[in-house]
Amino acid sequence: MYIFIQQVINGLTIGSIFALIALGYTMVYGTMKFINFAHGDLVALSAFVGLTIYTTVVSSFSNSIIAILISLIITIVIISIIGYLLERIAYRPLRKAPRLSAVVSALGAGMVFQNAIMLIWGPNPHYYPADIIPNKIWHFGDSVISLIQILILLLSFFIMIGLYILVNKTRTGRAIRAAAINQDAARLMGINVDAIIVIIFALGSTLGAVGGMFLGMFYRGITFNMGWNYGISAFVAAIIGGIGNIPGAMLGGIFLGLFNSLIAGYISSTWADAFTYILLILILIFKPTGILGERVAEKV
Amino acid sequence: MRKSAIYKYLVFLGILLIYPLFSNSSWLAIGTTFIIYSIVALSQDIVLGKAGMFDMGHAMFFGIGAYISAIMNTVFNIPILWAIPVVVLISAIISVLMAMPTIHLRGDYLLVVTIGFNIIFQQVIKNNVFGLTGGPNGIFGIERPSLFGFEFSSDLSVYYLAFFVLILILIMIKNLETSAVGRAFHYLRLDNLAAQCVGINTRFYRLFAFALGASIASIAGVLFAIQYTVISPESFNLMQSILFFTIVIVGGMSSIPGVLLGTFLMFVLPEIFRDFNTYRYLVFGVMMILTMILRPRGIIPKKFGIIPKYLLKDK
Amino acid sequence: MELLKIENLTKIFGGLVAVDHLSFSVKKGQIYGIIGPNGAGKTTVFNCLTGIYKPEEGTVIWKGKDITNYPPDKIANLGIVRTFQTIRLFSDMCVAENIMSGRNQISKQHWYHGLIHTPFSKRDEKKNWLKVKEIMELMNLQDYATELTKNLPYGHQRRVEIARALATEPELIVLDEPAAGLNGHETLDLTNLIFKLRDMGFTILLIEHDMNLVMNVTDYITVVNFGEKICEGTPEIVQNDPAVIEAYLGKEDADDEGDEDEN
Repeated sequence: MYIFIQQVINGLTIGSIFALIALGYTMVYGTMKFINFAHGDLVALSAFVGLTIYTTVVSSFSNSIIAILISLIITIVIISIIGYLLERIAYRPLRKAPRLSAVVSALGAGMVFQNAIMLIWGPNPHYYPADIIPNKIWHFGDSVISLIQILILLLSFFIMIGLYILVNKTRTGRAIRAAAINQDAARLMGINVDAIIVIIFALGSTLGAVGGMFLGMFYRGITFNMGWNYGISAFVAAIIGGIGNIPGAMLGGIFLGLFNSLIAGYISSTWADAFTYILLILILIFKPTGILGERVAEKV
Repeated sequence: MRKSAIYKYLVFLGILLIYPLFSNSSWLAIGTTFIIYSIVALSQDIVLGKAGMFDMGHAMFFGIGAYISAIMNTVFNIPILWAIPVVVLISAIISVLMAMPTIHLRGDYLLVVTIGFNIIFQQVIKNNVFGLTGGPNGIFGIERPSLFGFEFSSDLSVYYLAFFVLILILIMIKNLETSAVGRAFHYLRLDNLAAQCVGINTRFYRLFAFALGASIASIAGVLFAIQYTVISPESFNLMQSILFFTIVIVGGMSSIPGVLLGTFLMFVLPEIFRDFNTYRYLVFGVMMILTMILRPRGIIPKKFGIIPKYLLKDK
Repeated sequence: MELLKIENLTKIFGGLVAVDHLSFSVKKGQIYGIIGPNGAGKTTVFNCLTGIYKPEEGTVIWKGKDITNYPPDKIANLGIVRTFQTIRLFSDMCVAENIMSGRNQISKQHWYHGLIHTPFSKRDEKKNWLKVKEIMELMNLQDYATELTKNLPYGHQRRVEIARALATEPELIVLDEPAAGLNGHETLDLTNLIFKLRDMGFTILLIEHDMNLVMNVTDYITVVNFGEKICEGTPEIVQNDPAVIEAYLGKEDADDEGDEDEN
């Protein structure tokens, strides 16, 4: 039983990070209908940027938590600007082009990010300091939960609640939802779709930056090519939830985190990926648009 | 086919024919791999470019060809060329079994499903199932083939073997373009519903495109095993699939010259700039973005409107 | 002889009954019209008939055989072929290639002829291309043979779509608002074309908004409103039916710009 609880705790932690990253994929897909393959590498970039800023500023603060928050905010700003530039340079000229051209442009952008990280920080792994968060652990039964896990869970939870309110209860959110359904109609109703897309990229990058720093704080080791693996997992989470659907990405992320962690705990970690993808394929066979995705009927 | 197009192909094949005269052994190896990758890219193009199915796991079939032929050769001592019919049959069956439940999925969902199959395939070969695939190290000691007493032991002979297969595949794809089957692929890509409403069984043709693309990629896989005599999982991973996918989009969907040029740009060019090791992929990524912005339909887009001359004669 | 018989056809979208127990039958050689105000469910009838939608209730009988729920390609191969209200051509391809798509299932080529050409497949290929040429001449399209259809004016695109349908050698041609978006001159050409097709032995079922066209060409009309049949008969009968006049004029005189007044 203790394995189960332990794996659930770990799964929820990694699942909420997946969910944060998956939201970036799903929001871009929702409005622009293409897979932003560069998002994973942007997440990796944020892990590096965040670490660099943290090591620079940590000595100026007595409390490492404040140093983390400061670095988190600066990282969010930097990554949002990069996300904006990414959209402006690599995607905006391709709005009217065949959709796969934008996909290849995104793959190219991912390659740029990955190699830029390697050129700046080198090919070897970097490590988040062990004492970045006080190493506190709580036991209940035989299971343990660490302070960092609690922080990740709580922060992710509040960020997702915030996003949900933003999208569902505000004017901007209504514009985002309108642009996702029909860009042209939204434009006719006076919505500045270009501005909405910029907001979406900024939001997606913000969530990705948080996700990237959480990955660093939780696993400690970060590498220049880590974005691809986490990116593809988060993307799968978005698909499982129903791509384009914001609650779907949250649900998909948590679900995938739990599933991965339970497979690794009970069956075998060398086969974990295979099980994940078998699950994904089964879900898509029986529910072709993901768990919360809605079927779009073709107009004849 | 128009005359000017024939000349272009003859020039291309002529360059490939005399290329070994001007290359050392490492460049000869790159040439052979270029030919093999061209075959895979052409097969990817049948699925992605012609039939319009977003297949981002095509390296899997390339790998199935390489692994099955290598296992047949090293474990069961079967001459590797004899493996070709078996490889073609097995990969066609696997592709159809994979595609049957998933083929109706909308573009991007199919894309992620094919990525999934590729990753599952990776884990299968990495985990050394039934002790046959050799795990992360792969399979060693694959024998070079012989045919009618001729031993393909030299790298040069393997180059020409691959060259010969490329010519066959090019002829076959040209035939495909001027046949009912090949046109059906274009129709269902451009408008699936309209194609159905003129009586085309689009589901059958989608499955056929998948099986055909998988079979050709698996033949390329056998050639790859012959060339290197060693194979390992990395040669067939998701990054390779993405490479083939990108080649088709950058070169130009369903355009043969486009796909060949794409293979050159995406595979040979980075080899040429090997000295600039650290910067080359950064520049490469920028080039991918620029190419798409400047040529959204690929560098050499497919041209339609080429019909038999006798339709135009008495005009 | 009844070629096509639709019985009690019902199609529901969510809570909306788009087609409500509709029945009608088309005889061989007829030009049969279905008319009705916007949103009356006419196109839905066509979509059920050609296998694009699955009806909740009712049957579609083709030459005595129940073909309800057949997939679109199978229905097309039985001899029912349609055009679309919003023209659906293979827009990156040229006129001849578009028409050739109709020959695809008539062609006797097998899958392996896609890989290796044989004398048989070459003959078959040539035969079908020549048929395309014949159809282009019939439809006055030969001058545009190699033109990409996306570059053609709307009226020509319509003709290409009808030509593509003809290439399948159908028995029943289903035209979904063929005059939509055409100018007066093009509509006149279309009228002549429809008569020509009837004289060639095709049966025609059409939905149309242009009352002039409908009243001129059709032999028999079914009027649909809110998915239900409100009247059927020859153009004369339909024109004078009070229910029809109410459906068109009484509630909303929306989109026919007084066309029916002239009749």
